[in-house]
Amino acid sequence: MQHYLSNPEILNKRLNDLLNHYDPELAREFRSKNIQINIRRRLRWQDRYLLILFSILFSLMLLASATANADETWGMQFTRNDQLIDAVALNTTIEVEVIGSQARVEVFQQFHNQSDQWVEASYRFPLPDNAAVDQLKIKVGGRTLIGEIQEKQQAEKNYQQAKQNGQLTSLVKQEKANQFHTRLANIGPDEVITVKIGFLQAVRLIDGEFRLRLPMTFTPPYQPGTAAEIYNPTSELASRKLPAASEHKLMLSVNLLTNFELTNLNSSYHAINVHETSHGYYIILEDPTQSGRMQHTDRDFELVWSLQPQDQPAASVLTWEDDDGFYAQLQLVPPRNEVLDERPREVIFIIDTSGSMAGVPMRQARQALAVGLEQLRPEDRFNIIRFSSDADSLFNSPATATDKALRFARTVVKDLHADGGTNMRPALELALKNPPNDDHLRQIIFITDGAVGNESEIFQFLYEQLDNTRLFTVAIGAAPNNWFMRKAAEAGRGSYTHIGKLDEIAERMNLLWQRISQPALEDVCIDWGQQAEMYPAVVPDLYAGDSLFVTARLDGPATEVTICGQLNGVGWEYTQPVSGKHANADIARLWARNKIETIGDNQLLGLPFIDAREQILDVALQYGLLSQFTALVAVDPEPVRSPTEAISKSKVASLMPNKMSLQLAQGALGWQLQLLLGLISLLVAGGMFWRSGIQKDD
Amino acid sequence: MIKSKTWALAAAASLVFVIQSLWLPAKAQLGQLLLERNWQQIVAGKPAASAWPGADIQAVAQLEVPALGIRQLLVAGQQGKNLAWAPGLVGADRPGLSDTVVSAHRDSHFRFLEEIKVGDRIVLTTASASFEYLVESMEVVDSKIHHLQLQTDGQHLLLTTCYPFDALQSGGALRYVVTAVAT
Repeated sequence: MQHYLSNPEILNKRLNDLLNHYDPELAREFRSKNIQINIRRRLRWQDRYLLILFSILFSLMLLASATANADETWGMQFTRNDQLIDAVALNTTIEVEVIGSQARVEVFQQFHNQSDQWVEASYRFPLPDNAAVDQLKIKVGGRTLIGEIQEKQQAEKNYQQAKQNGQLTSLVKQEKANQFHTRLANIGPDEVITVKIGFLQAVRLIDGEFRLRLPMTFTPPYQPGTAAEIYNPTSELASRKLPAASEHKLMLSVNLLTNFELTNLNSSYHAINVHETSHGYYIILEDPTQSGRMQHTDRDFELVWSLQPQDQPAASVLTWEDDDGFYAQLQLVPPRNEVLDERPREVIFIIDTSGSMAGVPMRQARQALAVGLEQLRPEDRFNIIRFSSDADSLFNSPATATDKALRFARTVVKDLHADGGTNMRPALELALKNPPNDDHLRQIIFITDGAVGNESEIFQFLYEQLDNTRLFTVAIGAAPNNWFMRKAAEAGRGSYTHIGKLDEIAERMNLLWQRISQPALEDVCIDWGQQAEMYPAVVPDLYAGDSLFVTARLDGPATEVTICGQLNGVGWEYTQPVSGKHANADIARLWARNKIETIGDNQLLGLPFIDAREQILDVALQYGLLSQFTALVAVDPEPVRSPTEAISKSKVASLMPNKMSLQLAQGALGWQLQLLLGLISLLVAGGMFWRSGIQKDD
Repeated sequence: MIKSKTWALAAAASLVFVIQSLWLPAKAQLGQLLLERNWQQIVAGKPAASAWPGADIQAVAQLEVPALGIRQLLVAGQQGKNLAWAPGLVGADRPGLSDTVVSAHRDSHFRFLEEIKVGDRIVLTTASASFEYLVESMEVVDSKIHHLQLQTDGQHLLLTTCYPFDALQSGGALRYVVTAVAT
């Protein structure tokens, strides 16, 4: 029987015989019309392998054609006769000041226009995530160009005006994320250009470890002396070596301001020297010309440090004072994990099962919930509330996390499906219905895509009703309502987690769980002994492995700050003297940045746009901050080029300068790889096409 | 069974890639042909025009390596757009007065650099004069570490291309530099 099915000829003959036996007339008709049974074979393993092979080849081919484009280079390039030339950097200095959760990075670079013509320069710099250049200073010849934060339209107008007048000018625009790019017109022959840019960058804190990462790839690599290691495949090659890329000097220093004692202060990839100072630590990149050891400039610079573990929560205060007021940043760190009790908790999961969650988000949410359930300890209590247009809970009141209860919960979770509208309020009411069990810490974990209409109503409810319950929001999907989720978590003194992809669920949920299972200090209050404008306004709890940062503006200098809270369920209080230690103006800027964010929030809570814009502009202009309404522009008052003198666009053949350094050109088209891959896949696809044609003829 | 239509489509897509990849070396050949006419006009002293209508390049010099039977026409500049058509010359207007650099792709025009030997004669001809050089050295350098430092004496001709010659992947950092000294 089996061989009939695999051979259409035999099968058709046999069927024809059978039909002939029962109904010869019909069989004749079938023969005359040449009606046959066409059997479709299932995909054979060879076909599957070929299909996979073909897909791999095809994607390789796409990659190969993509790499045919030359990379854009970091640093400065000059345009001359429509030709881009990499400018040679004379030296690079990077100065970093770490202020708690932020680092102020200042990069100085010097370039030389080695041609004898007026050129236009283009400068590119790789920026870290979420960083924006807010300081700019360019020196060309004897002139200085200082960047100023201006209202956006005004900035654009000033730039265009200056360019027409032949003034040295620059408008800073961040066209792409993670990249700073500025153009500079009117650079004279043989002039040295000094570019200084400054930006604030976040210091990452993961599991008690601080990490500061700086890009280094933009610096021309350099080596001590001329003992360059050159890849030399054959010994016959002549001994004359090309001189190393100019006499470029790179200096990097990090001024780490802190009152805490640090442990494990290390650089991941570079050799450093560390000095202790009166206000923290001073770190410099080891000078290769003295140590003789090479520094890798093809790797990012990464500085890692952690704080000396303490028996008590501890605080560090950095301050800044100017004519407008007294600014402070307070960093609060948790004690050692061993000091913290594991307190029984009442965890209430709220899961959004509205129609907008249908499909992948629902699957993600179910999985996130499953991960959460796994982490419960036997002494914990829990409940699950699902909501769409209405809401209902798994148990009438939170149940102890016994095996039986968890098993039941898992089967119910598996059957959750998305349907209906979004009405959050009944779910929250249901969660807060009963007061929490006396010694249990109540935490709500709210899993949703955040598609809510009545945001302000929900906030009001949260502020009024949450009381001691903590709210943690978990956003699901590619584009959740980030702002709402973050703000809801702030109102609930919790944290916000975003899960964008399926494979992130376990990692993100475990991280969330680790943080919230060990609260280090709850109900935190901060008292400066005077009126203070503090951000964030609602101080969140402090969790193990985390740090808490609060910025404040005071009317006069503070001498001490009192911090209170609940440590292991017992009242705790601590007074930290505030020394007159001056950090820098960035303390004020950080505070102003938080204020701008709060104004933005208020706008979404009902503050009219006109008022919000005015308030944000006021703060941004006063503190020199980039915002959605301001831009950085730099104009030199003096015109430097007479309008009659052409700027680098002439077709006059360029004169070679006396001495010139040249970037080596890209040396290959890369067509061979593409051709090879193309031919192989053509062979495979063509072969398969031919084969499928033959089978049809069978 | 995957439909024959799907395979036909896949074959067509592959064909497009093959043609696209072949276009690059074809362009390198075509560039020389088109520049030839342009070069003859320039040598004849006619006012310089672009190599073909709409092109923004023109022949500026001729490079010969008699030992290898090589004769190539050069364009000015070393940006990728030009190098696809012909080797690029920097310092076109004054060989002999400043060092001269010629760059080209290792998988098109400068494939022959693999075979060049110390002592080989190179002739560079511009519209007004001819210069002779002898190959002095060859070396492999890392373009991330080195820039070419040109001397002021104008006694050197440097030919550069990508290295290694047989690498399938493009975009590497290594360069092959041939240094020739004026005779």
